[in-house]
Amino acid sequence: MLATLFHHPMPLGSQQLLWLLLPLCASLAIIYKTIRTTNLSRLPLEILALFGYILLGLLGVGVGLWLVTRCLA
Amino acid sequence: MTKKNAHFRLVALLAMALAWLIPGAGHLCVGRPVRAAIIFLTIGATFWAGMAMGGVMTVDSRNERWWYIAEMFTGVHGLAAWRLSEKVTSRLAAEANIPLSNPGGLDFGQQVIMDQKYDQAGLALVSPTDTIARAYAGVAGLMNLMCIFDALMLGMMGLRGEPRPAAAKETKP
Repeated sequence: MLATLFHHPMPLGSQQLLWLLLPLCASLAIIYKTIRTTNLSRLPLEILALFGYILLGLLGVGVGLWLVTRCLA
Repeated sequence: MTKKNAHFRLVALLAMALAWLIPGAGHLCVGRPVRAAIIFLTIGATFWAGMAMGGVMTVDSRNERWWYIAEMFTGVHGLAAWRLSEKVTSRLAAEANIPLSNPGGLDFGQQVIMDQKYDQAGLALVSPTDTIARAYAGVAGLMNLMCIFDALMLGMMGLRGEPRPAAAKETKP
């Protein structure tokens, strides 16, 4: 089972693609804040805040690009 | 150069090398074990999530050179995945009588045959899985590059252990 898991590619549908962005953004927020924070007790809160900023930023870029395509169409 | 500076430089280089080899080990070397554990788990999980999605050909040193470079920043994770992909590629190339040692790489005909071999073995990585899998594995490598640089800087500045609360307040952005 484990050998197959890391051997053969998984079939991913286009519906799932956007959701796969969330763990990647979470990883990025965790690593960035882990090396940048000066106070480890505030780390979970800082990670959550950065995760939110990243998602809002991506949402903004998405809306912006959608508007551009709407204007050009 | 003073003896102290030479010591700091040695610690920094050691931290950098360890940070590349085992993600998080550089921070352990500079006395930050909690951060080291978080880095180790997060980078390992991100890289192997990519491998689980893309399979053995996620790390492709021949056709996906830029992703491959990014993936190699994960140290042991990248090396293990590369070894796995080389083993599979060598076996399939041997079955098709294609020499892999050619410095110019495979020609078009050989590449088509290899692609068919990957497809028959159920290993062909196609869109959109390839992009997602390589993004996970590659981003894991780039995140570890940040950690390598951080461990190097901490070592160079002679900072060991967690910052003191007073210092933490002063350096807070």
